[in-house]
Amino acid sequence: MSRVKGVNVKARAVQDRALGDVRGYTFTDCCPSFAPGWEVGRRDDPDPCPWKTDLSLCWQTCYWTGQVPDAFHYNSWYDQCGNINNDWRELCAIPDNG
Amino acid sequence: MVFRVGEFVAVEHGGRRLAWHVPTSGLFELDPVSFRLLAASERLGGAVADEVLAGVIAPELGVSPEEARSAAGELLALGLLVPAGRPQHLDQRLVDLAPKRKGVASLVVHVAHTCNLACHYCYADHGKYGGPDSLMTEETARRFVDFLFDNDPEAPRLRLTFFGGEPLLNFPVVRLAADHARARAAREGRRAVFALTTNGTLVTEEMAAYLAEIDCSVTVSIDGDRKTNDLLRPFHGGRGSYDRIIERVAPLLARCRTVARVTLTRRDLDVVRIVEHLLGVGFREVGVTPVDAGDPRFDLGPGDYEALLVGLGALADRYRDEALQGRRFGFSNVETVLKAFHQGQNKDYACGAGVSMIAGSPDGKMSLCHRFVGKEGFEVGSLEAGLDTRRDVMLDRIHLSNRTDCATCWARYVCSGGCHYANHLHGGDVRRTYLAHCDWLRAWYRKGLEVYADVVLGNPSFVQRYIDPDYLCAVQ
Repeated sequence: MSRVKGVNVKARAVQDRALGDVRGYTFTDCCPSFAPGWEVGRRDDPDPCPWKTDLSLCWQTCYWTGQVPDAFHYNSWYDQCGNINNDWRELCAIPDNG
Repeated sequence: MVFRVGEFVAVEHGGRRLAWHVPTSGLFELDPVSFRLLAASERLGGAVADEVLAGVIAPELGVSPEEARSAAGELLALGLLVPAGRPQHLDQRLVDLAPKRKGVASLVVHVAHTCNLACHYCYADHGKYGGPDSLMTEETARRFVDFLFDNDPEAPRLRLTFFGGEPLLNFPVVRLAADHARARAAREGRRAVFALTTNGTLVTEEMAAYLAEIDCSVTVSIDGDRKTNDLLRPFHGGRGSYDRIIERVAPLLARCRTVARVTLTRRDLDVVRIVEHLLGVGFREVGVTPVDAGDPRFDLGPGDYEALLVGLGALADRYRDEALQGRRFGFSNVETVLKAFHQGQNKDYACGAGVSMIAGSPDGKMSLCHRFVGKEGFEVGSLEAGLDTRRDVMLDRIHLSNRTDCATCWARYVCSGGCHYANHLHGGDVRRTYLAHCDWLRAWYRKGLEVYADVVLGNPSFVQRYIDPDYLCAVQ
């Protein structure tokens, strides 16, 4: 955020949210998004939520299939990402085919 | 990605480039590239594709396509640019004052429906509100206080405003209601805060001492110097009230937080002279409001608003100059907009009327607010039945979404449609925005944005001290 500076309280709140938003959807530390990247907290730290620290576990077993791609159709989705803390940017997006 | 401009107001002021983002009420300062990128995108109209960004806008700004994309990405993340093809109404709003339909935490108690003055523009029929002269009984006042404390048991802070007519004509009931509220607050671990609006002519030392004891904020209605005030605010016999007010408010000025409230009419719009005079006689703060009399002798016309803006602008400049020196100039209209802009106020209702505040009459009826007391169709409950479904109907009617006139106004989440009473009086319907106000209000808000930017960027500690609500809460 080098070119734009939040001046009032609301602008700074909006900027905080925009900063933490790795794919343009995340509003808080938790994830309302269908896109991968949700496991990263707003300061680019791994989210402290214990449910989400082990992404592969979530990927296989999460009760909410919207969180991550289902392992049946996207079984290589996680291959690029060797270490979730370091390589989360490698997670590919799942194309939205409507 | 194809994008278009989001909804914002660009302000170039004092060498700074600012953008007020309408959906969120965020104020941003932009570097020259971002600011010009927004301007170029706006000029190009509907939608800007990547080829246009890289091939037209970037060369125009003198930056590489990558830099232009990076700047556009940042603006997209903040909503100043938005993906094209997305309907406007899906723009993200961060509403900090979401509809609060819980309880009423603020009650305007009409302890006296009678007045010893006969102000020419009075909306309240010289204090009688269309009924007979009447005073609230002790029993009714006590029940109103109980209603306030009982209707939302979780509200930590309850506000009681004594109003009239002239409330000091019934001071024993003011005292009884305040004592009762203080006793309940102490018993329940809550806080009662008090305010009183008076014409100032009946204040005694004893009253001032009591109001100071309960830490009551006092608003004195006075319209300027002797000449202007006496023209507009005479006693029933015709004698002017100025000398009497000045004589009687002295103990209030010495002991209480006392603010002067000026009703502006077209008879005198020299707002700089009026404000400086009242600060000069000892009021700590002065606020002004254009009258809504429904009478062309007093109501402002289009040319009058332009004249008023000149004076208000001069007072706003004075406020800014003092604030940059760390001093507080007591013109409360500026401070009100600075607080709204600092917080990024973004609201669905113009004011608290019906939402968190109602008015109670001597006959036990409850109205949308003090200005609607006695007006048919604006009752929202009674002491017997409490708040009823008429309140819900009214809250639906006065919601911003009903104000079609406001749909494209950049100031709609700050002003939220203006005073319900003014809309009702001038347009015959609370949903019909009083458009004569709109141009000058927008100009006033724009001036406020400039002053806010100057002060918050030039002297942040002043804002922290006087404008930031967190700090205000902490020191109270």
